[in-house]
Amino acid sequence: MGNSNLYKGSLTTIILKLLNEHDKMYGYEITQKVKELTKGELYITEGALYPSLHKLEAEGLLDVEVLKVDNRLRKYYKLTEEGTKETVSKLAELENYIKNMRALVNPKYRFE
Amino acid sequence: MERADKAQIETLYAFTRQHYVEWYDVQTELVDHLANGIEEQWQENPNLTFDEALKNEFKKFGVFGFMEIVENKTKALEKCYRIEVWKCLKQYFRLPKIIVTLFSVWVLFELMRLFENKDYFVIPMVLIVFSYVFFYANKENLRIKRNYKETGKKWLFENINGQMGGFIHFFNIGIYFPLISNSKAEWSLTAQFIFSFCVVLYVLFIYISLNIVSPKLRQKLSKEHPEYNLTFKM
Repeated sequence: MGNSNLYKGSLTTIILKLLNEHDKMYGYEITQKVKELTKGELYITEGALYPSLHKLEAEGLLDVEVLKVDNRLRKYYKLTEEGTKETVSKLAELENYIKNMRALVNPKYRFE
Repeated sequence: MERADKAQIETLYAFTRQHYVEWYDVQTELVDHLANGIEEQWQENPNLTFDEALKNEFKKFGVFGFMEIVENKTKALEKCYRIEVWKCLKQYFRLPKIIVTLFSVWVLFELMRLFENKDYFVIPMVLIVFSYVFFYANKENLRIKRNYKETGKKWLFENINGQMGGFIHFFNIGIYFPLISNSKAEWSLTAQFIFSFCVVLYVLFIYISLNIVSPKLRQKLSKEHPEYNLTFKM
C-alpha cells in the first residue's frame, strides 16, 4: 500500500486506541478491525503488527491472556493501567500531528 | 462458518516449526492467526483447499516469513528482562538497601586486606562466583531439555530466563579474568576497593536475576498461558 510509511509511526497509537475501546483483542481481530473502520483503505501487515504488540507487552503497556477458543489457543491483549495512560498521551500526540499537517496542506486550518 | 479442525491446527503448528519458529508460545499466536485467515478465506471461497488458503495466508508475512517476528519478540523479551533487573538493582543503591550493599563492600574490602598475597583471596572468590553462573546455566539448560523431551514444547520465555535476558554473556567475562589480572602487580587500596565493589555488584546482578526476576517472569507466564503450568518443572 502506497501510504504505508505515513502510518508506520502511528501503528502503536492505532493499537492502543483500539484496545482502549475494547476490553481485549487478539492479533487477527486488530487487523480486521482496522480494515473495517477504514473500509479497506488501511491494513496492518502481520510483519508490523506482532512486533509492535510484543514491544508494547514487554514495555508493560499490555497484559496478555491465553484462552482456549474452539480447538485452539488464542492470545488476547488488553491495556494495563500504564497502557491506558500511554494511550491518552499518544492520542494527544497524534492529534497534534494531524493538526499541524492540516495547517501545512490546507491554509484554512493555519494557526492564527 | 467452516472452522479449522484439530488435525489442521496440528498441521499449522508443524508448519510454523518448518518455518523456524521453535518456541511454543510464539507458535501458538501464529497458528491462531493463520487459522483465522484461512477461515476468512473459506468464507469468501468455500472451494479453496486448506493448503491453498495456508499458502495465501503465509504470503502476507512477507519474504522473511515469521523470522522477523521471532527476532523482534526475542529482543523485546530480553529488554523486558533487563529492565526488570535494572529496576531491582537501583533499589540496592537507595536507602535502606544501600546499607547492605555498602556493608558487603566493606566486609570484602577488609577481608581482602587480611591477605598478604591477594591471589589467595581473589582467585577463590572469582572461581566461586563464576562457577555458580556456570552451574546455573547448565542446570537451566538441562531443565529446558528435559521439559522439551517430555512435552515436545520449548518456550521462548524460558530461554530468555535461562540466558538472563542476555546478561549471561556479560557474566561470562570471568573466563577472561586470568588474562586481565596480573598477580605480580601490587594491589593498591583503590584497586582492592574496586575489586570488592565489582564482586558485590556482580553478586547482586546474579541474585536479582535468578531469585527475583526469573521467578517473577515465570509466574507471569504461568498466569497468562494455561499450558505452561503443566510443563513447568524446576
